[in-house]
Parts: sequence; structure tokens; C-alpha cells
Amino acid sequence: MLSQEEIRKKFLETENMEEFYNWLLKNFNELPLDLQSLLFEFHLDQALTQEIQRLEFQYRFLKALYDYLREMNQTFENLKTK
Amino acid sequence: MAIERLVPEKERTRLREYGNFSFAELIRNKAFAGLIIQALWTEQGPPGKENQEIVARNKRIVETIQLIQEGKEAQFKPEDIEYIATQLTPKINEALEMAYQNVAKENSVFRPESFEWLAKLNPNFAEFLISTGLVKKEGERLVLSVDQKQAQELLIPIFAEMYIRAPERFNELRGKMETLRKLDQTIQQIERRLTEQISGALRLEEAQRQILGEIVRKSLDKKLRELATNQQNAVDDTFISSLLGEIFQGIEQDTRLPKASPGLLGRRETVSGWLKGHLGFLVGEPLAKIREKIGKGGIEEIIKGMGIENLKNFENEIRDLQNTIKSVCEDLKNIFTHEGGKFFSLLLVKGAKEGIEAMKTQVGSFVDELKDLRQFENNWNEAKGNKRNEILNNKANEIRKKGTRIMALASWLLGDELYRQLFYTIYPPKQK
Repeated sequence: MLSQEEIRKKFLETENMEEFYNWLLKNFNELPLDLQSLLFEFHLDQALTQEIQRLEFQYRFLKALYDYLREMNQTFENLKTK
Repeated sequence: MAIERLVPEKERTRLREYGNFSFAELIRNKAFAGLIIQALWTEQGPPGKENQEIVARNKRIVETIQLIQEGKEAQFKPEDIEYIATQLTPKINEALEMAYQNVAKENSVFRPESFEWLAKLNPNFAEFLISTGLVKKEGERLVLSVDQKQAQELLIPIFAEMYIRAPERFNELRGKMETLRKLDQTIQQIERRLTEQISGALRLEEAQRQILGEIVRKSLDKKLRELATNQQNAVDDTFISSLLGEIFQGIEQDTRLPKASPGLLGRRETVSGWLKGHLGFLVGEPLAKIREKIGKGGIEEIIKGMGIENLKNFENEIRDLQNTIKSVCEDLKNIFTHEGGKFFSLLLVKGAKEGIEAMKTQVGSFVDELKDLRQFENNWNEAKGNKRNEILNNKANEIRKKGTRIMALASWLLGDELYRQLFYTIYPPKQK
């Protein structure tokens, strides 16, 4: 398991934070539990937030589409019987 | 001695097997040691004069844990064991129990399959989970790369730690996962009903309906993702027609759906039904509103306004022109492009725009948080006197708004002195 000193040292040594982040991911199973948990929490929250937004939009979209189709079918039915 | 209570007794899982471990063996287990350490930090607060004894004890416990984990000889002081057993164990037990209930129980929200499912929806999360070793790619498919027990062994300590560190975040994420599941189920129901509307006009059989449903969902998903990634800028006529084009193209290209079948197309009512079903896009709520505005005049007036003289002539023209589903689709696509999109988007644009704006509001990236901490430390090192206080206060305000996760990350990455000052800025010591 990586120690706090090793992680802090790597953080200070690495200029590019993307590189440091990739190093964290590469060593995920060697990270202390709370750092694993922080990474997991962040990514889970991000994925859930994005997918909820996407599905809420999809829901509104499909609902409108469905209501539209249903109403049109009804309109034509009414026209036929005129 | 209550060390055995580190393990939830009543559950028959691998967790229970830890009950047979000795204390030293438990401490060698990274997950349990991590939970003890997190529970220690939660109790302690930052190092300072006010809690010197507590800090010294905790430091001693952590060092002993580290030595044991490195395989070296080390003994806990009896009072430290007693402290762990009486003060920390109940907290750890509660967290493990909570994590177990949410990870390992049937239908619980954080079951490993939930993450596999979420990874399939969200490519960024998939990439992250691959690095944790929880999922892997098999060809194009994402699958769990470990068995249930191994997945639980990875997830239970992570969620137990989260529960100790930030129980409100644990509950928030659980709520979000439940919301996502419900939304997904609702959308599936609507998609089924929508497909019924379209396939009713097409007279499709059940298997073909399902195929159509797949096509609708896939097309919509593709177009929405294009919106979210800025490949398409706005929900407008272009978006609507490109979505419908995608659906029609899907229908045309799918070899499982009937094409140019005389039986299907030879029936007047089928083509008519197909048209009527799809012409539904052209009227409805937006037109009802327009109708209100123009006052008198029924649906015929509206159709006239669209350049279609009357429904019967229109159907005849279409019937004469088309003899394959492909050409019907093409023609309808043109109608939607030139006419339908305008009306259709009237209804959808407002809601959709709001949705898209929300989708574009990303929650940032982990790299941004790392960059931010690096910048904060650099600025603080370079500043002097009051400027340092200003930098600390600004960061403290930001952390108060964003929550405790940044603080936890800061505890790992910042220098001890800067972290201590930041902590006291956010949580000033109580005056005696």
C-alpha cells in the first residue's frame, strides 16, 4: 500500500495533474482506503448526475413525442367520422 | 474485549469469515485498517495544541497499524486496543453493516451489477471502473471482471469508509442511484407505449415492435449524446429532423424489419395508417395553440396552412408515389424536415433547452480538483502576511460550498502546516 509520504511526494514531483491523476488510477488498488473511496465517490456522483440529467431530458422528450402521436391519431379518427 | 464486533455477526457473508481472524490479522487487512484510521480522523480533528494527547495517541495507533501491515513486530498499548474496541468499533460496525446492506443484499442499490449497468451508460465511469479492476471489456461489451464476492470485497470497505467520513454523501449517492433506476424504468414504459403507437400504424408483429423500440431508443440516445458533447448545438428543427432521419435510417437498414413486402404495402389502410400515425407530429398541442390564436377553422384549415390541400388527395398522392417502406420513410422524412420539425420543436424546444443546458453543466473533473489544490498551495507558498489569510479564507469559503470531499483530498495532498491552517479557518477552535 502506498504511504501518505509517497503520495504527497508524487503530487509535488508531478507538474502535470493529469499525469498525477493517471498515476492514482493506475495504482488504485495500492491506494489507502480513504483515497480509493474519495475517487469512487467522485466518479460515481459524476456518472449519476450526468445520467439522471440525460434520462430526465429523455423522459420529457419521449413523453411529449408520445402525447403528440396519441393526440394526432385521435384527431384523424375524429376527422374520419365527420 | 469487543474486537470480534468489528465484524457484523448476523450476516452470512465473507465478512463473517473475518470474525475468525486475530486482531493482528485484522489490522493487516488494508480495508479494516483503513476504516480504523478513518474513524480516528473523524474523531480527532486537525493536529493542534488543544488535542495534543489525542493526536499523540492516534499517531501511535496509526504507526502501529503501519508496522503490522509491513510485517514488522509491533504491539498496541492496552489502552489503545481498548480505545479501538470501545470507541471505534461500534462506528465501524455500523458503517460495515450499512455498506453490506447496500452492496450485498438482493435488489440493493450498490450491488456490483448496478455499477456494471451504470458503466454501460456512462463511458467516463466505465473508464474509471476499469482502472479499479471491477469491470473489463470483452470485445465491445463491458462485464464484471471479478465474481460477486470479490466485487463485494472491493465495494463494502469503500462504502463503509464513505459512510464514516461523510454519511450524508453516502445517502445522497444512494438516493441518486434509486432515482436513476426509476427514471430508466419509466422511460422503458414510455418507449413501449410509443413503439405501440408507431407499430400500430405499421401493423408490426410483437417481435418487430421490439426491434422498432430498439431503433427508437438507440437513435434517441445517439442524438442526445451528440447534444451533450456539443456535436450538435441546439434542439431545433435540425435536431428534430436529424433524430427522425436517424430513426428512419435505422428502420431502413435493419434487415429484421419487412421491406417492400407486397402484403404489407398493398393494403391501403396500412400505408394510410402509417402516414396518419406519423403525421401526428404535425399537429397536437402546438397546433392547438395556433388554432386558438387563429380563431375559427378546424384541422382542415391547419392542414391547408401546411400546404396540404386535403387529407384524401394527400393520401392518394402518397399512395401513388410510394411502393416500398423505404420510399415512404424517405418521403415522411422530407415532410418532417420541411414542415413537421417546425411544429414539433415548438413543443419541445423550451423543455429540451433547459435539459440540454443542465446536461452541459458538468460537475467538473477530478483533475480540476487536483489542479485547484496545487494552485492553492503554490499561491499560499508565494504569498505573505494578510495575503495568505485572504487565500485561506477564499479556499475555506469554496470548500464550505462544495462539501467535505475536497477537504478529505486536501488532507492527503497538502503540506501539514497548510492543511492545519485551512482546517482551522473552516472549523475555528472553540474558545474556552
